[in-house]
Amino acid sequence: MKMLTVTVLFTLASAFAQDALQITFTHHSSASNTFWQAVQLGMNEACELIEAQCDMLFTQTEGDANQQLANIEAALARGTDVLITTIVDDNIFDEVIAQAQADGVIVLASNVDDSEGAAGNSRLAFIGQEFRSAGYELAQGMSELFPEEGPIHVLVGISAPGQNWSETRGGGVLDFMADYQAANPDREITFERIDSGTDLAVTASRIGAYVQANPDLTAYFDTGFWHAGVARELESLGYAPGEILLGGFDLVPDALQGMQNGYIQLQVDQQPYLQGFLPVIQAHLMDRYQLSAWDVNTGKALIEPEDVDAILELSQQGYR
Amino acid sequence: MKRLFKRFFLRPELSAIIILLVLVVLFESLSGRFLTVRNARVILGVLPELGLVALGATMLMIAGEFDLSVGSVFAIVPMITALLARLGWNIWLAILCALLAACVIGFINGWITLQFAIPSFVTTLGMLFAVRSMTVVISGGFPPPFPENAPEWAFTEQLGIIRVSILWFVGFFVLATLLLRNSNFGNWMYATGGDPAAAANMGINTHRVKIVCFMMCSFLAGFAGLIQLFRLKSALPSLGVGLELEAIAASVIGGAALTGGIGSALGAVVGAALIRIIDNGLVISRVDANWFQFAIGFLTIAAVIFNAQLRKLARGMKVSV
Repeated sequence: MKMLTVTVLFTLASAFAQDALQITFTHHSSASNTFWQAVQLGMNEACELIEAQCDMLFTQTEGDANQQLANIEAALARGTDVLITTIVDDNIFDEVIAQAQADGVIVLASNVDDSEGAAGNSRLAFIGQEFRSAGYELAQGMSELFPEEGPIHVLVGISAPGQNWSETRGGGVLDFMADYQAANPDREITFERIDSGTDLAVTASRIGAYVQANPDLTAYFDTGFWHAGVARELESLGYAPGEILLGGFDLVPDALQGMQNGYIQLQVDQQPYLQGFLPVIQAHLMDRYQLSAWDVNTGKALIEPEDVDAILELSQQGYR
Repeated sequence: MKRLFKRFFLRPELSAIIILLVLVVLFESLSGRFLTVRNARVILGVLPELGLVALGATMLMIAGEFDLSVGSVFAIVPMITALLARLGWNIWLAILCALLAACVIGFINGWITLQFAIPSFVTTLGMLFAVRSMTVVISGGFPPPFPENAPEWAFTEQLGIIRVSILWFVGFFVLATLLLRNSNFGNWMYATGGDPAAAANMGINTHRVKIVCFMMCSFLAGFAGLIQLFRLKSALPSLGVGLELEAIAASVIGGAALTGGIGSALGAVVGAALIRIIDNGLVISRVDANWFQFAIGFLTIAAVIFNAQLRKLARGMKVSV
């Protein structure tokens, strides 16, 4: 009898596993990137709700688009029903995504889209932040803290040169600075970009060195959250909070701590939890009810230090 | 018969081949989808790139040196090709020029190492950073567009389940095997790596042998980068990050000795195939792919221990003459 029960349960479990929607989320980041923990949490909780079988595939090194492509191909070979992916390059993923769709796989972009949007890639929808406007508004928000007189010198850290998300956010900041320069022809306003890296220690060290050579730096913008390392570096170099303005993206605990200490003035939230949660729900609705996909801008909200206390606990739990 | 077994056990790539077969069976039994035509196509599509780099790294290791700059050379060759093509150069001329640049980097690696008698670890580590930085600088951050007239047919065109890149890979593998096993230069490489002083006493110009190996290693890394450019259709400045360690791991897993004098082209191919199969198999089998680096690390150590034990076993075999 026991044997029969076990066999029946095993058969039911196998049948369930066969029927459950198989969802694969591949992206360009490594497991050590804290931002993706929130995306993964969102994906896992959505998958629990709809009882889907889900995987998130990381790359071994940050920004390894080649390995991301290999992960996508392996996921398709194992027969995934839904592919959620980041489109960090305008060409690399076009062919594989088109082929996946031709094979009946639901493909959604999350977190990073083709720089031309739907015109550049056949994915069904994009769930994430509109990078250029987010970068522009970050710089615009920060400009209210610029000194009213004297020269302004701004540095923009491109965390991953050549990758859509980083270049486009940085481009948004640079666009605003160009507009700001044009609007203030009587002031000396300069700005430049730097390859800042995707590691807290590397970014801290590079910007720390830059500050030594350019003590007139007014503000540093990072296209990720790695300016949290710069905040610590400035503290150790003896700079007072706010002496050099810092701003960037994503509410990871390190960045929030930098805001609490007063070294980071402005942060843009793109709500990573939603970038994991919403595509899974969309895919489920598309699969079950044949609904169409829809784009979601997960946010470009500017977060200031006074907002941090309310957010910190949720951030530590992985929801913000 | 015993003589045959002894020769068989002394093959440096034997342990890697055994591990490869075990893993293929394991992944197939876990997933039921590993040995499908579609998955073979996936693995064969990505194998030539690491395989070519591992082939060059193995030949250099046989000659007693190694190269950490291959990942950066892998990135700069596609970048130079795409930039020159954007400037209106003929694509073939651009490719030739980029591969020539790779050879020059290999020459500089070898010349500095031998001229100043410093470890190749140091020279090529420095070159890794320098070349990566040059790649970012010349790209200006943005990847240049993929050349419209690019001859994909010559590098990555799909032919059934394989791409043309596999043919290049097999071609270079055959050339490397012939070089290592059937040429004087191959013997000089083993002699130079095994005992440089004795090789020099025999009249072998060990410096020249090593410099040629450095150049072959860089050339193959650059050529592999070119294949990836044609496959991805994007010359990202970040191509090949971390590839140097994968290539060294592939060489060591394939039986090459860091001390020089031991290794084979087949070992490099099997080592590279093992790494790509683990990468793919973990995903296919739904094992948490974050274990990938653990698997590579574990296998590197295991393969070397396994090889050493097999050699010990083979040496212990008494063969009558």
